[in-house]
Formats: sequence, C-alpha cells, structure tokens
Amino acid sequence: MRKRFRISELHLLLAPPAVWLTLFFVAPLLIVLVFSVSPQDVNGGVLRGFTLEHYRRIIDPLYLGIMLQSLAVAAITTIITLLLAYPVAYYMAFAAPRTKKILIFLVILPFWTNFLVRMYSFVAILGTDGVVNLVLLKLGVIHEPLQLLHNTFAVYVGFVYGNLPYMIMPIFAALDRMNTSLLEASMDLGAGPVRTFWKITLPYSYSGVAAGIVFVFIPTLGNFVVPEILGGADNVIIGNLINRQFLTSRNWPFGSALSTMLVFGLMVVITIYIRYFDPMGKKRLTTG
Amino acid sequence: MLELRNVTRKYGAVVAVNNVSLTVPKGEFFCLLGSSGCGKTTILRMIAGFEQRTSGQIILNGRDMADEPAYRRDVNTVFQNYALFPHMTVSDNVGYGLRIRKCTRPEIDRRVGEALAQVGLTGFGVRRPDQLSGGQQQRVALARALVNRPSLLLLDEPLSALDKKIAEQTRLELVELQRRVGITFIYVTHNQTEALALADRVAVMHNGVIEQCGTPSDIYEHPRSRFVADFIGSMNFFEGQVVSRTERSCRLRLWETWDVEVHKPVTIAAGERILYCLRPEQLKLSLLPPSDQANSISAILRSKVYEGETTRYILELANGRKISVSQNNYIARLWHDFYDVNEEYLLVWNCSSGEIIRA
Repeated sequence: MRKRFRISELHLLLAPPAVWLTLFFVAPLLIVLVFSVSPQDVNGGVLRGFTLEHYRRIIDPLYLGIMLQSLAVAAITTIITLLLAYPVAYYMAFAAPRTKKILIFLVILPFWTNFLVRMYSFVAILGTDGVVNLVLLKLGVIHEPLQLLHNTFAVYVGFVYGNLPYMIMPIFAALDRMNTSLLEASMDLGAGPVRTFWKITLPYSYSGVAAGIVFVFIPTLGNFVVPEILGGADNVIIGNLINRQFLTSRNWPFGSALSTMLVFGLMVVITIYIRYFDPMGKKRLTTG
Repeated sequence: MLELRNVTRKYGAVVAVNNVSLTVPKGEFFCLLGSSGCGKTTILRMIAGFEQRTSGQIILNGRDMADEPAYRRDVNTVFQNYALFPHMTVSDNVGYGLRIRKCTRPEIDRRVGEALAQVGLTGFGVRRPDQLSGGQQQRVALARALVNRPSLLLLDEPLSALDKKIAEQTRLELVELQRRVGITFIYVTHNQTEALALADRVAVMHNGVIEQCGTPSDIYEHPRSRFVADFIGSMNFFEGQVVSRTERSCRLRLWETWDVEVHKPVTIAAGERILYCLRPEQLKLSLLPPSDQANSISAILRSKVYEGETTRYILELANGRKISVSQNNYIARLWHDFYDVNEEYLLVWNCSSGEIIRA
C-alpha cells in the first residue's frame, strides 16, 4: 500500500522555496528597509544612524506628482491592455482545438526574445526613419515623418505590447473553463448574444480579468525600462525615479525609501485582490 | 403543438438526423429513446435552436421556428449537466429568464418562490449552485425552465447524472409535475426504463431515423422491427417462415424444424422468412405437454441466474440456439417449481403470445 504523507512531512516540500525566498527576497527587502531610514553617504551607499528625512522628502510635490503619474500610466496601460486582450482571449477560448493551440503558441512566442531587445525593436519601428513612418511616407499619407518615439504614446505602445500575454492568458484560462452550455442556457432563457455576454460570460471571467489586472498593473508600476527606451524627458515614472537614485544621484537611502513605499502600495493592491477575488478558492472550500 | 416535418441534419457527409417527421400534441410527455449517436439529442437541440436543421420544418404552435434564434423561441431546456450559472444564487438562476423578459421585481420574486416550491426547494434560494447536491441542482434547472411557462419543455437526459434511487424518485415527481403544469415535455434518454415509465408516447431512434413511435406498452408488446424488439427489454428471436395462414392465425416453421401455431393475423405471405419474437417472461418451463392453446419445444436447461424477483433460465434447443426464460420466483415457490441444470424440459408458451416481424 502507498504511504500516506502526514501534513508535517508535506511541509518539508516548502523548505527549498522558503530558503530561496528568505535569502533573495526577504533579506534584500529588509536591507532596503534599513537603508531607507539610514543617512545618505554622498559617495553612494549609506551611513550608520537613523533618520526619517527620506520619507519626508517623498511628500515633496515633485515626487508625489511622479507617483501619481506612475499610477495613472499603470492604470491606463492596464485598461488598454484589458480592452485589447479580452476579445483575443474570448476568440481563443471558443476557437477549434487546433486553432486554439496555434493561438496559445503565438501569444507566448514573444517570450522567446529578450524584453529589452523587443523594446529596442520599437525604436526601429516607431523612429523617424522607422518602418511605420517609411510606409506612411511611401503611401503619401504623410509628407513629414511623425514623431512617434520618445513620447507618452510610445511608452503606452511598449507597455501594452509587453503586457498583452499576461492579460490574455488568465482571461483565456477563465473562459476556457466555461462550459458552452452556460451560454446556451442563457440564450434558451431568452437572452440575446449581447446580454449573454454581459450577464454570463463577463462575470464568469472576472477571476481571470482580476488576475490579468494584477499581472499587468504591478509590473508596469515598477518598470523603468520602457519609459527609459521609448519615453521622452517627461515620461518619468516611479521606476525611473528609483533607478536614478541608485545609479545617477547615488542617493541609496532615498531610492530605498521610494522602493519601500512602492512595495507597501503594491501589498495593499494584492491584499484587495486576494480578499475580493478569492484566487485560492478559500471561500468555496469553507462554505461548500 | 409541435410538429417536425422531414427534418434532416447533416454534418458534412454524416447524416445525424434523417428525414424525421413527428407530431407532439399539447400537454403530452413525449420521449426520444435511443443509444448515443442515434440523433435524439440533435433533434432536441434543433427544437431548442442550438443547432440549425439542414432541411425540413420545425413548427411550434403553427409557426415555423427553424430560422428563429434560440432566445426567441417559446421553449426552455433542462440541460444534461444542468448548466446552472455558478456566479448566481439559486433565486437569481431561477429568475434569470423573468429578468430578461423585464418582469417586475415583485412578480419575479413571487414566481421564483412558486417555482422553487414546485420542485420542493423552498428556502434554498440564497444558496449557490455549488452548495447543492446533484438532485437539488437538477431541481433548480427544472424550476429555472418551468418558471417561464414555456409551451414546450425540453429535457436532455436530466436524470442520467443522479444515482439510481434518487433518479427513480425524481422520475415519479417529474411525471406528477408534468401532469400538474400541463406543459408539453420532450424528454431525451438512452434509458428504456425511464422512457417506459415516464412517457405518454415513445419514439425509438436508430441511425438518425425514428424506428417506431407509440405508447410504452405498444413499443414493448408490439415491436415492429428487430431493432426495437432487441433494444427494449430482452427478446428471444426464432427464425423461420410462414407455412400457412388464415384470417386470424398462422402456422410457422421455426428453423425448418419446429411447427408452431400463432393466433394472430399476419400480412406476411406463406413461404416468406420471418422472425418470431418472444419475451423471456412469455415462456414457461414445464414437464407436462401443454394444452391445445399452447406451443412447446423441448430444450435442455443449461444455466440459471438468480435475479431476486425472477430467475433467468438459459435453455439450449436441439439446434444449439440459446433461449432465455424468466420466471417469477415467488410464484415458482408457491407451485414448488424447481428445475435442474442439464435436464430436459418443455418450453411452453401461449399461442396468442409473441410478435411476428419480417426478417
């Protein structure tokens, strides 16, 4: 007979990831926390001591503005990505099995190329002598190259493009689980296709939409590569700000304070997600 | 009233439903019976509007429905997997159709309450489907369909996912409910017991066509084809030909060996090949030769299978054919009838028993 494992023995399975997370996630986080309350060493690094001066500095309207802009960029990116991803996920979920496999493959295909390389490729696409401008000029649609790069538009293009798979996949997974007889039942009860979508399909996919929002919103908020490569001078979001504190301004404590704020902010978002969207299915287990 | 006229459904070269015509009067409990792939579910789905017919007419209350979308048909369906909306409470599930039809809030509440009471689920309205047992979910699906008072209710194997005891109990409730609400039911099943117990009329389907349509007793007692005779219950087939016939009876020769009298009029001419069908319960084992109103063939008892209410005896004829006889155990005990394996007995049956069909 097969041996049944006891719960305490199963806990051992958690040991390797626990060690990994402690070493490479919790420890650096604690270091950042300590840095954020330490005085600044002008040569870079930190001095011994305790100060809240860096947190006080965050309240400066300049930095608050950047934070609000970051939230806005992440939110708008998330909304655009959602609007583009949903129809794709919907089509995939109800496609024939063969088409479905091909589409899944196409959605994850971009991951075969490095993110940075893909962002630089947009420079070639959107630049003044880029593919888009060349085509439009040749077609005579425009006579002067358009400024498509180094502005807010380019930042959104980069963010939306990079995030699409992360939004498509969870929504697809949710819709793919849905039994088509639910749609038939809705039609059978008198609801047309549009009402069936709003009352049955969309609510059914909420868990996937919520997961997609989290997967897109959070990385976008902390990202600094996309505005750096595709953005202009005023496309600074919190990721760039932190990046500059560490690499350019050599102000590690202030960078740490900003990072700490970001981490706590995101923890709030994730807590809300877990509370209201029940991704672990806890409610189902306890009330069932 | 529902009428199907020459309805055909093809999937490429495959003909799922082949030129089916049938009429179901208002208030009837009609059953489509057949094994999987016979086309019964396709017919149901065409009536509901989930499938398009390739040709033919589907007429409901005098109007051809074939091109109407599912959401404009006065038809509701109870799905095999119930298809309850998982993100809604039981009440919201049942009230869905009424909300779509823009009924007022008080009317929705009243009718949902009535529908839940009808299926014995009063007080379950606030629950979610995944908090209900299979039998309860089935009732919710039923209430959700009935609450709209459709002129036609379609049921796609609604009891197949339930365990046997609950299915049997629900079966009785279903018949009672149908009588009470008076809505026409079209019920698809592969389970012949269900079909015989529930339906006013049964259509037996095979390879996309209706083999026979009639009352349960008609189907069981007077099968008109070998398929129907074999599919419903168990049946012994005696091959033979008509030797002679009169107006009210005929003489058959079975396997060129045994001559038997059958007191039934036949339209089959003398000399033609026939199948003589006898149910196991129409046959009896005996040691004594029968009266002149009965036929007999001698056979050797090869095995007995105890089935509780009855015992099934398998006998072998002189030509090696196996014949199955079913006898009531209670009556056998009253009469002190015991039969031993490998002994020779007489297979006896009444001259008026059995059906003769063309081979």
